[in-house]
Amino acid sequence: MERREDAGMLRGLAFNVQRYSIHDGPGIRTTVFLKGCPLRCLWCHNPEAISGRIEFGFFPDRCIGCHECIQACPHGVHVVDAQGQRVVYRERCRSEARCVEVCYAEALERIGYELTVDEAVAQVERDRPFYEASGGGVTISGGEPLRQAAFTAAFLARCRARGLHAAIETCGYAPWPALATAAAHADLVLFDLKQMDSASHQALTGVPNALILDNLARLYASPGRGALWIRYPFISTMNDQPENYHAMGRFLRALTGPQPPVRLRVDLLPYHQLGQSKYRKLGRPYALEHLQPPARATIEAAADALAGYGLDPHIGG
Amino acid sequence: MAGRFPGTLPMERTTTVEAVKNGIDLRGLHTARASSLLEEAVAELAAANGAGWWDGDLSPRVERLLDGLNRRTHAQHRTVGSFTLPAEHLKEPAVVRRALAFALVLREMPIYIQDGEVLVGGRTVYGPPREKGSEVFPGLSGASGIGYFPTYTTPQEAAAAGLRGGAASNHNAIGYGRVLTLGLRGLRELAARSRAEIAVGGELTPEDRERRLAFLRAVDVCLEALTRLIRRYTALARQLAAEAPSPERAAELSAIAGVCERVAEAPPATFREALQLFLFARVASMVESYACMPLGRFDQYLWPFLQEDLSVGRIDRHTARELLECLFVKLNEEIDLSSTDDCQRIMLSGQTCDGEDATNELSYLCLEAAVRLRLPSPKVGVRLHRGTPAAFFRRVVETVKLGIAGLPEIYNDESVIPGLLRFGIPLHDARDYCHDGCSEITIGGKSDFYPTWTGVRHLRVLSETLAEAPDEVTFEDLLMHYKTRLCQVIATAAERGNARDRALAAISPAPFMSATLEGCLERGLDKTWGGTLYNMTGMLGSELVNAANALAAIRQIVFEERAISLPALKAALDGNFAGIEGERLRLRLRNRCPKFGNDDERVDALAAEIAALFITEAQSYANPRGGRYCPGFFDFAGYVTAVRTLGATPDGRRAGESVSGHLAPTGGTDRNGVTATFHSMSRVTRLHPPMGTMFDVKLHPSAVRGETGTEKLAALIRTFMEMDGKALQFNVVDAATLRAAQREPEKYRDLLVRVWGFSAYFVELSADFQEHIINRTEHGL
Repeated sequence: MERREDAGMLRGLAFNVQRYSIHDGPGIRTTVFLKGCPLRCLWCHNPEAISGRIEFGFFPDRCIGCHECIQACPHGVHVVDAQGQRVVYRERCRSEARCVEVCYAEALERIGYELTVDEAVAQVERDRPFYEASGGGVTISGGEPLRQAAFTAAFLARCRARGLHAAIETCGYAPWPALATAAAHADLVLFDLKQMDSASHQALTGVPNALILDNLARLYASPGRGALWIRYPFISTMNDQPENYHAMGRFLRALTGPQPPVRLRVDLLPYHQLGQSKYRKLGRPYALEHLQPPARATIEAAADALAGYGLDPHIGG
Repeated sequence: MAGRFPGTLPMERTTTVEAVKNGIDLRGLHTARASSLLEEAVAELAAANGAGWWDGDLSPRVERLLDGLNRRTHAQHRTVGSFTLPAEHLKEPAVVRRALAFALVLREMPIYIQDGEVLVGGRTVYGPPREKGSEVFPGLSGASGIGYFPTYTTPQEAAAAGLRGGAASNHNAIGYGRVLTLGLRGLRELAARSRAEIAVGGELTPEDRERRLAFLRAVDVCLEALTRLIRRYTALARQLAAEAPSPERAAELSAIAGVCERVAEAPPATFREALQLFLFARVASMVESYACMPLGRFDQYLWPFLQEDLSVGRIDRHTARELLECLFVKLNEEIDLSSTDDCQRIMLSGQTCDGEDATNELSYLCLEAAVRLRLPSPKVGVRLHRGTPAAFFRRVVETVKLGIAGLPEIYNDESVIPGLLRFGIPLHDARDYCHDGCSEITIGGKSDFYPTWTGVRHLRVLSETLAEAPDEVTFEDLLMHYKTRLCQVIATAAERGNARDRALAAISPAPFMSATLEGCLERGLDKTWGGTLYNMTGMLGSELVNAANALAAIRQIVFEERAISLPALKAALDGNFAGIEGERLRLRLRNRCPKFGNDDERVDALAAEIAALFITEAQSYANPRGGRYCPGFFDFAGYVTAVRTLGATPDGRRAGESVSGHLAPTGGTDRNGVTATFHSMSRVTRLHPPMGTMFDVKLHPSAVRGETGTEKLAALIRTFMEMDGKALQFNVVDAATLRAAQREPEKYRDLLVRVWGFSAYFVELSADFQEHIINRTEHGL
């Protein structure tokens, strides 16, 4: 009994609890987005999720020039320089969010807040009627939720114990025991697969892919696991080449065998540029300024190829 | 795909009033919707279903009628009325005078039959223009008051009543079912029997007897006048048949003459005859009531005629749909005249009075015709309940996906009917509800509803409360002051409504409409005298959301955080948040205090508390017709216009700024998604305001795309129903809305763009990416 209470009091760092989430698993869902990610994907569209610390976003258009933030921050993050220019020294930020507290104009936006497992469960419980009507549930995502493995596992376990369909979305780059524990409490694992060539994977995401592939193989073979969907972010020039998706097809077919009882679902998620404005509010450069979304025909060719390996491809989430 | 959706008119489905209601400029929306977004949805549904259920070209006849409508060929028959009632008529009681004046208009009104028409009849007499410069027809502008009625009251009478003779009490669904079942002759016979009984009845005082006999005489005058009008059409059709350019058209015109001849007195025997009599009755009702006349449960009162025709093989489904399309085209002839919503709403499906599912083949046909034509009228509402057939439910969802501005409006029987029961309407008749022309609830053909006469503007009440509140109060005191004042305002509103009610009864009865409503002929009482079964006066509760937001903000800032004293807050409001400190206070009130629509107990509970008092208190007032006040949460353009004179308010609203409409969150303050907003809304709808409320949901195309999109949309509607929502309308977000969001980002902070694993608020995107989204939206992101 005591241990259960302890798990409920576990604290996590989230950046959003999004209700009416409709692209992160079946039905109408609530998605809890945790902060912190071990990968640095060039195309990342949730850059506010990368850092495991509390940050702030800045929207200069909304600033009314009251300069309360300058007074509030003892670390000199917000400054008006000699030329009267508003300057932001993010490197000085100690994640205390005092500037955000006083910014009623919401020019400064807090990114990241702590919440307990119990609080997260109470929030997702609110929309139970929608899950029940739609076959939906809850998804824990990020960032990388396995960076906060204990929180994630406890959250999934509690949701499932309450009869909520529980899903986790992971990049797979985590110690196997962390993944195994979380997956044991999940009805569905959404598992990202980005690039089959390890050197390319390292170049694109900052880490090699051996751990990810190994985790996927072990997860697939785990007895009693829940459903598994592969998520393939389809990024022009980065991982949209035929050799990549054929390699993916071969790898997955090796897992499933030629006659799997259920065809393994693969969601092809076309690159979009929408994350770019998020980089601006974080004051970060965006590496893929001119990258275009993939052509429909390109992504359809990839889907057809994957279907040829006995997989169940879906374009879009 | 070309050719599937022909007949797009260069008109706007969404009218000015709705645009104002939505707080955005929707001009050009209809044409925008005809573009790729719609095409994509059409293609997708067609792919999913094989041939779409709306499939097939419009018939050459319907195309021709649409072409005529487009060119407004009917407008050439319009005239400005200036008829004088003979002096000897002025000795009659007001109700008879009203009938005689009505008969005069019907007698003098130009009539017309156009090329290709099989259903005929339209109003051609209008009031003088109020505005110059438009060319709707010579002398009458698009923004004119379209109602015309000859003067039948003396200036003294009008002055005494404080009301113009002929003032309409519209927004009421007339008893089309009764007209079609009995025919005009049947109605006159019923009136005659009632006259005979009342003439010998011993219970009545002589004055009362005279009054009732006068009413029944007036009814007879009206019905006879309509019969004569129909006979004029018979004659015109015969004459045109004789001159017809082709034998085919001659035969058609002869058939029109035959139909008119039969329905001039007898009840209709076929679907076509029923549609024709419906159209004539509608013309008569528009002459008497001018505008805003809903069409009731169209698929219910017309179904017996279609069912009979289908069963004996007199008509097939295809022909029935074409006839329906011909009628729908006719219902759009006055669209160009009205600067406001013309309120021609039909209600489909739902339950029968016995609680059976009421969906029938005509329900499907009406939805099909509306989707195929995409005309501004009739506006289509559907009633859903637990027993709605899955196939019909799916049609409704697919229609929503097509993104044709709010088509259809969805009503929830499971919540509306209990609300009516609690108001005291028996179950049998509660199951027979429809909408009033806007979105309020009424019982078609059995009730009289004065919808918009009285209202309480909650935020203004709060503003007045604050102005008078002592400086030293607790929050509980302040809330009590507010409630006390609210009750006073309700009392005043009821007094005002009742005064107008009595004035209407004195000089502006409605004998034609009354003849169609249950109870009036039987009792010999005009509807304005309480003749029909249920006599409601609406009381509109507006600005509830802003008032709750304001109270929650006061509680937090003044009483909990003690950031500012009440006098200082009042001073800041008086100064309209001037200065940088004022602006900081405004933003704190707006952005840092709980807002309705986010599933936040701190404000939702306040909204529910005020709403409960408003509902109970308003219902406790009686009106002179033996009925009661019927509260609901609606607003008309008032949430833009009426608040222009309202100073700054503690919800962080500047002086003169608009407020939220109905129970919608204040623009841009709902940030937790549509499910959270449903939760907030249901706190109020569970209190069952009998007149209901309307809930607008904006969805991005990505939220409804594909079969999974259909399923998720269906789940959203089902959950809305389970949560006791009353009425729901979707707008699949289109480029026009996104443009509006670019112009006024404050109002659209809630607008989420969703794609896989990512979500962003549209207004947070930089301009170039907003452009990107707008372009993609057109293609269904």
